[in-house]
Amino acid sequence: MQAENDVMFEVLLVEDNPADARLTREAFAETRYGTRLSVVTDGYEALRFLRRLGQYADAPRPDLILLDLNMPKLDGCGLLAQIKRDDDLRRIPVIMLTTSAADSDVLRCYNLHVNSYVPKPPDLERFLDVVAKLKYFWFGVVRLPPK
Amino acid sequence: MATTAEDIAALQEKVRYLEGLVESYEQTLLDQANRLELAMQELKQQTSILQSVLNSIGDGVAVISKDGRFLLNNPASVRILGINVGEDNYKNWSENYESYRADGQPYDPNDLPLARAIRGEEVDEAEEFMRHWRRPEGVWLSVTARPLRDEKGQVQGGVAVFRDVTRRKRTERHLAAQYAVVRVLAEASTLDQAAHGLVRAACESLGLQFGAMWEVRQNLLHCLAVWPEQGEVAELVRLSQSPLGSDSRGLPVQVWKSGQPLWIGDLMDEDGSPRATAAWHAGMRTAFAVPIVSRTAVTGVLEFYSDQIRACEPDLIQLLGSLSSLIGQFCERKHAEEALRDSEALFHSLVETLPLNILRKDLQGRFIFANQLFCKNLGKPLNEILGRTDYDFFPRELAEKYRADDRRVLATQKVFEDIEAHVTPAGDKLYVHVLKAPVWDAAGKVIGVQVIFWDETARKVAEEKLQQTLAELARSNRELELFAYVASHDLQEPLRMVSSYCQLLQRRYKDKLDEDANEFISYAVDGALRMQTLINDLLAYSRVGTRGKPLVPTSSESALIKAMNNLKLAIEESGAEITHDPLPMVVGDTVQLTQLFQNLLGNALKFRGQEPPRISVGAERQGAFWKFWVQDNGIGIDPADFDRIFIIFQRLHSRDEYPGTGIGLAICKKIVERHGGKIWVESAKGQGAKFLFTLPAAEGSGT
Repeated sequence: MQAENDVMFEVLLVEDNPADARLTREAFAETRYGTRLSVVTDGYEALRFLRRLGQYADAPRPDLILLDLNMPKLDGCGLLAQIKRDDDLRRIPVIMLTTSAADSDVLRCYNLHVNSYVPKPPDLERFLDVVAKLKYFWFGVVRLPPK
Repeated sequence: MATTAEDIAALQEKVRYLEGLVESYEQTLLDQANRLELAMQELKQQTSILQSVLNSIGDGVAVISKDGRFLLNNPASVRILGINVGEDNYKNWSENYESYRADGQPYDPNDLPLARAIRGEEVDEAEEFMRHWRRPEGVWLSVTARPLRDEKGQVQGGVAVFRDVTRRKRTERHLAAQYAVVRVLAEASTLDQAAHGLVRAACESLGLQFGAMWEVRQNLLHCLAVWPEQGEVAELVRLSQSPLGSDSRGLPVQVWKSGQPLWIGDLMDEDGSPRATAAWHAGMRTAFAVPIVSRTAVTGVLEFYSDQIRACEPDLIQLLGSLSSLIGQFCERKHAEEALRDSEALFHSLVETLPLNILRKDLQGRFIFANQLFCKNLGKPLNEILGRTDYDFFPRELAEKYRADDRRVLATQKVFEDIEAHVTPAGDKLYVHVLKAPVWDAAGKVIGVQVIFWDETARKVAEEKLQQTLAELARSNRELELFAYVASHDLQEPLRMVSSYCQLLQRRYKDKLDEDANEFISYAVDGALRMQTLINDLLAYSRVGTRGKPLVPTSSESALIKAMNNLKLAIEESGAEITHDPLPMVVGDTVQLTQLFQNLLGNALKFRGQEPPRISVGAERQGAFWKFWVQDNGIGIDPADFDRIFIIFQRLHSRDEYPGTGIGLAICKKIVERHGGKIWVESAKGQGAKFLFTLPAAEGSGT
């Protein structure tokens, strides 16, 4: 758990499976770069979070959004389309983090302007490795849009 | 006795009177003698005129006495008859002469013209054929005869005036023969039918006793007809029944071979062939034959016999020549007609037996032809169809469509094709395939439309069913893919959780748990990971069918090389030596072929023996396929296991010896079968394995 003042980057994870969400959270915790991971469980919740509606009135604006593909109600692609259609939200980098490696899913996401499509490796070691590389790339290499 | 002066005077008077009488008598006598002299001179002159007339006229004149003696015959009669009849007696006429009437019947001696004349009858221009044994060719006469009567009207003899009409008679006969032949040919429809009539007509009109007609068929001379068919010529008829080969003897074959007419004046001189001998015994003396020529080839022979010895008659040969050419032309015409009939019959039978409706319409859309099937389908007899139009049989809307199609064909002069969909009154679907083409006349003018149509409902229904089945199949394939997707994603998710959290446990709490706990956790992780591999393999296996690319000409060699590149590390590590022949172009999916080689090479590397692996790859042509092999020097396979190795997840070894799920060869089998080929293995335990498979050859690919 990180202290409030260590937070340098806000990350929104949209994931309906709590076990998966927890695993991602653990992976984020294992590496450096101070990040705060917020988790919502479906696409509508994510939109409410991003637009600071209702309970999310004080929600932070994320620096990076991680999306799962399969979710109830509004799924990953539907949410991606909403975000990329929104003038204010579209510049937030969105990363698909999913177990599907199907060509059709990959194509669909890039056609909806996803920033990168990252298949979730099946075993833990590699998953930790992928998350570490993602954090390094987005928070160590890339210059993010100014808030 | 006293003689008186008076007496004397009276006597003197008497003497004077008598002297006067004598004188007058003498004078009368002298006159009469003079007159007689004159008359005789006149008579002599007349006789001489008559004689010279008789000598100089062209007609023969013969006079006989009542008892048949010839009193007179003029030089013309000798010339015409070729015989001086002066010495003969007419009563014995038939001992030396044969005489025939114009109809060919022998004359009764009592009916001969002079015989009738001395009975007081008059005969005008009787035709008679006469032949003396010394002049066998005979002569045709036209005879006029009259009785000779004295002053009292008693018949004293007869006179005959006759003319040689042989030439005219012959011309008449020839004309009659020609007429008869032409008539027979005109009435006959085949040569077989005509043959008998021809031979008979020729024999009867030419006064011949036997005739035969031969036809060349399959290099043999077949007798089509003889005349007469019985009587003395029975043996000749019998001999005519067997066909003659080109090497047999006798008149017909000689003429067939030479193509020239042949005249045998006396059969005694013949070669003694069975036919000539039979003819001789049947009383025949002269034989002749002419070829029947059609289109320069000898197609038959006309053969005739006469019971008289006859010198060659060029005009008869000429006549027969012209008759045979008539027959030849007849044959040619009949052949042409036959060919035309055959072709008509062929097209008729096609038109009436093909399961097609065939009809023609003129420029105004009136039916001018319809085959039986069309009549039957329309339910009308032909005579109620011809001359009518579509409007008489079909609803106005349909008729207008048909007419519009017809007009398009007439305007474009091109074939029009359509599949019309109808609904029957019963509500069933009906598909009709229609072909319309313009009809041209001989001058190249379009005169109408030919329509051919057939019911294609069965085919269309089958096609629709096939489409349905294909759609069904596509749907089921999509479902299968969805299933595979579900398997890959939804089944893997929980597994991933199991393995990930086990690993996290291991990672975070390794130092805080005992040995047993660590071991249990590692088994759980191992099981979960193996399950993931199995699921991925299953997915890969199902995708051979569902994710394959189209099969196109592909280089199998570049697939092999790609596979070797993918295995580069394993090849280097094992020190393997891989050799291959030049490999051909095949019809295939290059990704899958790479996978195929990669799996087989991978197996060869994996199941290696003590020696470094030596692998050879080759191919040879086998019909429309190429037979490939991948041979190694590895541990080999027990023949008892040949079938098991291609079954999914079947393994021959424990995971400790050789890792793997047992998916590789199952995928190979599925790939080869998707390409239409077969895969099998030849091996013995410990002797290496040789995997063989076939792939379809690309067109024109060599070795």
